[in-house]
Amino acid sequence: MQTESDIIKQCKDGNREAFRWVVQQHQRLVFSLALKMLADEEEAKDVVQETFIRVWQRISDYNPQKPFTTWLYTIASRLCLDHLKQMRRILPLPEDESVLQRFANDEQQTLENSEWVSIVRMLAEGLSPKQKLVFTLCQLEGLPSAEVEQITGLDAKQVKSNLYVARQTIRERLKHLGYE
Amino acid sequence: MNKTDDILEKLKNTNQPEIDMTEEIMNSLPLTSPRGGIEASRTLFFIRTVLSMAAVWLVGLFIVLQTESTGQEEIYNVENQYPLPQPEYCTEGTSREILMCYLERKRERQSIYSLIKQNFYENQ
Repeated sequence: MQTESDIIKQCKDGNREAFRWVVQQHQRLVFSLALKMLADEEEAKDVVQETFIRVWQRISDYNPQKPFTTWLYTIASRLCLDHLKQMRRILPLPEDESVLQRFANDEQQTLENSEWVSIVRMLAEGLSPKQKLVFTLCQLEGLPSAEVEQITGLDAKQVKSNLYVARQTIRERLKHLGYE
Repeated sequence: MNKTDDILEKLKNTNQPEIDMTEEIMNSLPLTSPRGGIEASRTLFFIRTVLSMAAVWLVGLFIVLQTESTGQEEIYNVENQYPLPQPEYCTEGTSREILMCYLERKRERQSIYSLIKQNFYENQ
């Protein structure tokens, strides 16, 4: 049985079928990050496509000593930040509040992509791109701080402070909406 | 645990968004393989190096030629420093005396044509 490092080695040799496996395995992870960062399904799909094209072009730069997902997250997060710069300010829509309300009160454990977009639009309003990235990676993707530091290039203190500010902003926002 | 933490915790445990873009991504990949890309960049690097060296060589050649042509100009200047003898005119005395003086000097000096002819045969 082939390991991930074997498959990545094959990708470095130009094996497209091996790369297809990489795409199938990791596209959901990249899309999840992009959707929560950009709160726009089409933009998130663009980021997924751009990320894998960049991965294919630069796979020879990948250091097998580090986890592949960390490298993938690094590329995806940089592309998300680039897209955020070009996008207009993300503002919550009137129907987003009802989606959040339903999610908060029900026991549902699954969300449609459009519901994810609505909730992220509601929560992340007013966060800076860096705060949004740290919050998404730590809080929504559940990555450990050490990995977030590697992905973002921030040190432990900066990650902690960005996460703290993001959580405080979201807490204030939810309080304002009557969730406290 | 307050409501905010509840919501954030619940979001963390919620399923990831769904997507299947495999074919779309595979179709949009560039035709060159990653290694092919590296080889192309190596070729470009080699061409760039050769072109840079050629450019430096051409600039050097230009400077050398400029220096040589400046030397030739100096030679021409040296020649200009020694112009051909100009006829000396007699200006004093009566008209007859001036004429006689002129004819006498003309007889003494060889004509330019005969001077060139003489030099030509001497150099052969």
